[in-house]
Amino acid sequence: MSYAYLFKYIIIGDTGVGKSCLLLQFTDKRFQPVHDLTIGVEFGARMITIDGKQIKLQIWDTAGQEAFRSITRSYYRGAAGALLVYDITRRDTFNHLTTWLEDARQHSNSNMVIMLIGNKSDLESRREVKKEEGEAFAREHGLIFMETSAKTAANVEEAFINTAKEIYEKIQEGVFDINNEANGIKIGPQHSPTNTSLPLSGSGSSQGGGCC
Amino acid sequence: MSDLATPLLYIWDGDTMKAFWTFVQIMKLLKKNFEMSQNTISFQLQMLYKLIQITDSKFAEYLKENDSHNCYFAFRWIICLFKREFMKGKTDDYDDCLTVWESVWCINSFDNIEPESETATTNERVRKNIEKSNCSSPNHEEYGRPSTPKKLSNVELYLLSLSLAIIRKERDLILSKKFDACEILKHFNTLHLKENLNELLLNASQIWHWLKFDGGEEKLYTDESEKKSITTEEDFEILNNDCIKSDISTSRDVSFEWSDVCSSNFVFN
Repeated sequence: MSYAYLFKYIIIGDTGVGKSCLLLQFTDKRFQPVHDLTIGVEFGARMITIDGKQIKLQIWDTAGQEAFRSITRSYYRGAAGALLVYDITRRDTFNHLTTWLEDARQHSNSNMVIMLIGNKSDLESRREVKKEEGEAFAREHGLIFMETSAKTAANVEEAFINTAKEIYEKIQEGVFDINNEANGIKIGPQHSPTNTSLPLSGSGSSQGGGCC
Repeated sequence: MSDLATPLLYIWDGDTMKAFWTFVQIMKLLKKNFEMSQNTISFQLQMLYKLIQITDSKFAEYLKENDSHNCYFAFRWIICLFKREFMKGKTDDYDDCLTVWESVWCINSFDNIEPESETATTNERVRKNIEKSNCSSPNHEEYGRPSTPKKLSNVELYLLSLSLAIIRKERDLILSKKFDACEILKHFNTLHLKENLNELLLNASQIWHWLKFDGGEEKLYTDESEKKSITTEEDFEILNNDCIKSDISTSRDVSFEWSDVCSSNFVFN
């Protein structure tokens, strides 16, 4: 299926906060309470529409376990967007956000759009982190913020799509150099500005990919 | 680590005490893979790339061009001893995974029964033991800072052999479909290998044999710059043929079916 842009996302955060479940809810619209621990990285992809344009999200779901950190870091490179996830029922996952954020900023490009997500909003009775705290952290560090529930699907679509909107706006403003793939953005096969000057078998197919 | 523990609970039919002590034994072998520095696992992945370079330089080049020469796609294979690749879906069918594991334990026991030449002097034996304890002793580094490993243990070599067997099976598809970095990672990440169990184990044992007894292992530790550079597919096949042939001619009393290796497993036609 053709698309105007492809955005690479990463999902990061402590182990057990629901990163893989958020991805599964977004790509497959289902919730799986028991899930294999992510080791290394897993993938998901979905097509969305922004401003009438088809945009393919290629999402890299990384392992949260600290023992795997030094390898998962290398996946941050070339991401246009990041979902930084904590669990509203576990304060320590919120306390670790600063480390995650430093890590992400250090190993990715400076324009990367970061969405802070407080997941498991369905577990209101077990809440340990107030919504206001999440908002304050986001404000302080220049992030977008949302509370989601991968279980009930509340705000899951919005989290992924709003991040894409922000990236899209940055492209319109010229902040992202879309010809540099290190920014995590690829132009779709038919939308390549250089396409017309190239033979049919040229860069179109390689840029289009067919990944994930 | 739960990936390593669940099959054990299955073997012991839920007897947690027996499963625990079996788990302790497994972790003696594998705990370095879980070091925070990740030096050990990174070294294994580096060596895997070198192994690909030695046996299939065309594919090695392709991986490099596509930013996949870190071999991170093999990370989970090694960490979980291929458990996820040999399980089908969400079922509790551990049999194939356990067959793979059984082969790993065999290699581990090889450490203990490795025959020593009768003519070896005491000095040589002492030296060998020191070397052994330097590279594969589970107690080494117990209290110190983890150091960068320089040599692979037999189990690690075998895990790389099985990784290479899987890679060789998939390489044609990857080359023909021109997968990019993400697609390569995704492809290797989502393999289900149950149907190919026997073939892969056979190939892995052949590769391991080549590494251990026919000079393959030494090639891993030699400097890359000494290697021939290959430019065409034809060169690649010639070199691959030469490489295997010379290994056969120099091999000692190995009762191994090298004809199988040459005809089907090591050379791409």
